[in-house]
Amino acid sequence: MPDSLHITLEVQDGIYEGPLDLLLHLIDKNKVDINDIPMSLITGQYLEYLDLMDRTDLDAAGDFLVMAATLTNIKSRLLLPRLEIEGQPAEDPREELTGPLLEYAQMKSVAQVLDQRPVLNRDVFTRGENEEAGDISFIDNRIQSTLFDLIQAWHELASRQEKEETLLQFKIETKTIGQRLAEIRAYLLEIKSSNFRELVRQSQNALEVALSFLAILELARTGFLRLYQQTETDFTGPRMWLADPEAKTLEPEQLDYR
Amino acid sequence: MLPLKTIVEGLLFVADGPLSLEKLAEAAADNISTESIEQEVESLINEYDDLNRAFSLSLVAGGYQFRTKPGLAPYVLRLKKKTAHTLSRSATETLAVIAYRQPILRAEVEKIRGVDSGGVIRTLLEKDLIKITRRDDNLPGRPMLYGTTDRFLETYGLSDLKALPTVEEIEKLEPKDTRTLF
Repeated sequence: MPDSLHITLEVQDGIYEGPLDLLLHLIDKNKVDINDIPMSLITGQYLEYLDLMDRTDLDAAGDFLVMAATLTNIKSRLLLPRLEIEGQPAEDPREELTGPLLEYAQMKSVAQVLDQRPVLNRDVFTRGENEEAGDISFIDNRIQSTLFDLIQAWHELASRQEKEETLLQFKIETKTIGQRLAEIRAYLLEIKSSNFRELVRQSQNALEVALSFLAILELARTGFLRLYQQTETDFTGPRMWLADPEAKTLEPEQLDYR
Repeated sequence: MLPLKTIVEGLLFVADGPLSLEKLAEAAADNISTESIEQEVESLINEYDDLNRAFSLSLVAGGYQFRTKPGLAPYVLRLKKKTAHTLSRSATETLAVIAYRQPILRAEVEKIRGVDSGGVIRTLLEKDLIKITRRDDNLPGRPMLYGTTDRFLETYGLSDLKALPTVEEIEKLEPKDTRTLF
């Protein structure tokens, strides 16, 4: 019984990373061979653990339940007479468990070895602050940026919009993407090239900036305009120019999902 | 004119991150071969080792860098009033899978670990230990493939990815019976 109590705490503390981790623990605890798993014993204990588990974490519980089904399935298949094909040994249903378990065990020991290395800012330190990630190397001048940069740029743009708000506030009727798209289209047909900042300068609020952004993306998608960005951080000033005045765009009504 | 070794030493002393032989050569003199720079660096590495100082010169992420010796960690952390940068078990495990199987899909990581790994992958991306290397054009939806970054090499003090111990080497270190691993 003390063992059972111990189990409860372990599961609730989330000590097991997942069903494979729990299975490895059971195999270890029972001192059985991973290549010859006693299915009845292990399945029984696994299901006991499951009963004790905190089921409120549905994501994790789901993974554990799938494994429970697999275990039960393998156990029942072991009970059936196996088809012997001449010259070939009968297939062991447990193999579908052994493979993933061995691979997971391998990755666990790899992780241990990795963790035992002298880790920067845990075991070893360099001169200075070292909070930043080394140098950024540019590969043939292509811009290296990530989704995070884009989100960061969006925040900067959005906060700038807020700062530039005038004292007098009027309730302004919100445009739709379709309307904004038609406006930008007409504007570009006339002046041929522009940049993002210019197009959003007259926007009254963040929603309109977003609408302009979506409209520009839609126009770029259809080939009506081309977008070009000079430097890595130049998110607010990407240039755009008219590429194909004939490009078919969705009808404004089709885009009006606000 | 200072001796080349002194110049190299000075450059390494002021650098923010690991300095490659190419960068050292570029800064040290015109038309100097990386081989002669390497010679000086090697000799510096040996000299610092012989002096038994608190730091040594190490090869990480394709460059050379001064790093403190591991035993100093508690004192450095107290001085900086910081806690050690550590990764959770699940993050280390996910990082290991990505490091050894890269380029790898999120679905493959989850298959090996047997659990949802979206949150951990995001954390590793934020810490700049992994990156999206490319998309798999042969699969529907062109899912993203993940790999490790230079920051990963710096963090684990690896000169390059080849310096990772192979799975076979790791298994040789461990007793044959997988049970005793845990």
